[in-house]
Amino acid sequence: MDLEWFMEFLSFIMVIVGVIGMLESRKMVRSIIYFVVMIIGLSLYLFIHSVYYLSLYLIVVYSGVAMIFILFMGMFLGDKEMSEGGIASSIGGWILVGILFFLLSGFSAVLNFPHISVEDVSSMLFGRYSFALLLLGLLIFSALASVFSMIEEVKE
Amino acid sequence: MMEYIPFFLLAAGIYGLTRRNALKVLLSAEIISMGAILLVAASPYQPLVLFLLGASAIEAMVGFTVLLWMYRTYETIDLDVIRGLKG
Repeated sequence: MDLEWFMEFLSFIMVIVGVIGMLESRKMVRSIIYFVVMIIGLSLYLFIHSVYYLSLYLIVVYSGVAMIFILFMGMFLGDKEMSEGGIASSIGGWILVGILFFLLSGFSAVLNFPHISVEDVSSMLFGRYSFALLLLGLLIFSALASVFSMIEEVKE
Repeated sequence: MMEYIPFFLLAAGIYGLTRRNALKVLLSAEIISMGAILLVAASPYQPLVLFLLGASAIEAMVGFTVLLWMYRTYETIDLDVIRGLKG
């Protein structure tokens, strides 16, 4: 077991635990701390793969500046417990996350298709389908504008 | 194994948008932007990451400002209680 593999596995565990803990913990400050754990895991992963600027950006901006702001927000709003439904709804939600993950990764996570990777998906999105993405962005922007106009009409 | 993390982040972030706590919803939006950043960082179009980083930082700041306004107006951040957009 070499060190790089161990560090990658550690960052993987940190990201998974951070996301699940953030969404499932009832206290706000705890979920913020889990968010920090996730960010540190992500930056560790990026550092291992020599993406230094992004790794440092995540540490400085999210674990540094923004996290102070978010922790201030959490403490300002009060560390109240807010239940998010029972265990059954939570398990149902995570099953939905699994289905979404399965769909998003193009079935490659489970069936291990070698021809679909992160690079392929991002190349398709930002290369071949960039015009379609631009149109989608315009559509979403027009929807946002129409929502604002509808709100104004309701107020009148 | 780690190359599937962007997809996991996107899926978990979409699930997190259904939470009642507005702070968790904002943090979930951050998770979605993290997934998008990782997806683009692995592509040949890496300069786009800079725009995404700026957009996600601005989104965080604006979101927490809205959260503060929400708390001052309604004295709660429970999204089941807040009915502001209903008019």
